[in-house]
Amino acid sequence: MSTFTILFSIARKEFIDHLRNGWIIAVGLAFAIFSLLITFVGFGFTGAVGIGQEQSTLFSLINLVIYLVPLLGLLLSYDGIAGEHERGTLDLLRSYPFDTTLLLYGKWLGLFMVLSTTLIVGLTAPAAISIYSGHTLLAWTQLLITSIWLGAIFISISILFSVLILNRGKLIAIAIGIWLLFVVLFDLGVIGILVSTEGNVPMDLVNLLFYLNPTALYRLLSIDLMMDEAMIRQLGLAGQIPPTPALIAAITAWTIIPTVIAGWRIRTLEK
Amino acid sequence: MSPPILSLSEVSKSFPGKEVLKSITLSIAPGELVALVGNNGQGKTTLMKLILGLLSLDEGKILINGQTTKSTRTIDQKALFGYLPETTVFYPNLTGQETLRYFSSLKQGAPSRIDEIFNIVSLEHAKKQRVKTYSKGMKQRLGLAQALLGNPKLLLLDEPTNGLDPSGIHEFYQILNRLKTEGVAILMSSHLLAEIESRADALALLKNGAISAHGSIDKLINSAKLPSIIKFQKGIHFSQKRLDQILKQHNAEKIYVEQSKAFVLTCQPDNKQALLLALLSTNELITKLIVNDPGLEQLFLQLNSGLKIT
Repeated sequence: MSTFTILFSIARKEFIDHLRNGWIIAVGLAFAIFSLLITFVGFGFTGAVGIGQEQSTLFSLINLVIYLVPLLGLLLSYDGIAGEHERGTLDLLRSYPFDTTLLLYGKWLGLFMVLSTTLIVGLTAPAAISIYSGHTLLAWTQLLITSIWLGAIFISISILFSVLILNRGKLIAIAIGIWLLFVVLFDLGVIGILVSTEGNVPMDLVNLLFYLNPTALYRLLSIDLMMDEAMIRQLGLAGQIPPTPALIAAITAWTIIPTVIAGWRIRTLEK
Repeated sequence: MSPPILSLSEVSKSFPGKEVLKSITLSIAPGELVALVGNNGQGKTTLMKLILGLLSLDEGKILINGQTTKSTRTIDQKALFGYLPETTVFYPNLTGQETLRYFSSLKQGAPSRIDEIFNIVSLEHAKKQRVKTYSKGMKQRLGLAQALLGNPKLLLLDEPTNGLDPSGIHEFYQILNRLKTEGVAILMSSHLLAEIESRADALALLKNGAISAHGSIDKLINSAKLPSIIKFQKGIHFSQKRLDQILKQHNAEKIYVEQSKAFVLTCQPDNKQALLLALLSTNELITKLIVNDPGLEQLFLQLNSGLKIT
């Protein structure tokens, strides 16, 4: 019982802190503006309300999520532990009578709540407009859940680096580096391999490479869940998407493994 | 006397390329206030972190409430501590009350104690304000309030009066006195020797990572045999010859003469009484006599410049 009290106390404090410093409102509104723009542009391009319109809007939003959510997760969490260290509260909390890993898991939970609320704020308006126009609630729910999940992965990665490095100056550079690697450079690298080998790379190897990048996994899972067959064919991905359970397992691993390593590290911390 | 709540035996700690603490032996009994003094970088904070289990021990052993420990602390042992780090910046967007509620929940303390603690540290009026509006002294009191949560048996306070104004310092020691009467043991580091002198039960001086003096402050000052300083002005019947005679008889030394009217002498504590009697019994030889007995500051300076107490 007390374990949960401690976990939720830490998460609650994290949430209140971000609510009061304006992060949730500011980022949530910015995200809402971007997603509304995409929704309206999607309507404009496709003309009358129809299935194609929903598919293209969702696909554009998936791409917006791929660009923005990892960055939000990283920037939200990079100073999660390092910030406590620099303000002197990390040592104080480590002297408190509870297992220090709870501090890390509580932080993770709090940041997850912050990011989830931000994305709910950001996606509610376009979802409402789209559903009012006759589109399905299911696809929007799936978009919200997978987006939150993508953010959770980057919270885990960011928290791991936060506990390993404990220096906010270095961590901000690392956060941007991780974003560039997974969101920009990885795809370029895969394209580079395909071009340089003139496509003579086994598809299994390419699929394997995707498991090394959580944003690639998110893209595949979102397309798998939200796009219809026509859209998947149009994207040239027919028969190429790994099985859904494999994608979900990989995404789960990307969420849990960095957090578990971070939990081990904070226990053995000596700074 | 109650058994010590904390005992350190031959504790040593090194960081790469630097031996920070060497063979530290120290103990604190319930209700005792031990002041840890020393220049910056002598290992005071490191010693506290070793006690708390935030750093691992290289050598020696630490006994907490009679139980031998190495580097890790059990939850029960941690529950005995109240810790105020040297610099802590609390969460600026939380109110004082939310801050204490947060820390109280992590110590699994009763929320009802929070109001009582706000009263103890005189922050009742500001508990609903956000911490970012607090002055430095208020933040320090909030830090102390945090350390008092959960009824600790051993308080570890790292430079606790930094940023407090004189009345704040006075109130702070009143709180400590109250805690002492309740049996709380306190280990406190400080640079402010004047405030420790009349309040600490014992002193441990850290120099180059080792304890160079340890014991009650009065005993240490007596053992150090530091000279008293005597100031006076010429009386109506002042005689330089008579003064020189008295000084010679009592082994006293003239340090300087201020504007040829006031004299400053030093003399060993053993000779002080006889010297004063001789000065005062000569008819109006001197006037406006002031005697300064050696204090903690002199002791600290002498110990730091190499004095050894046997």
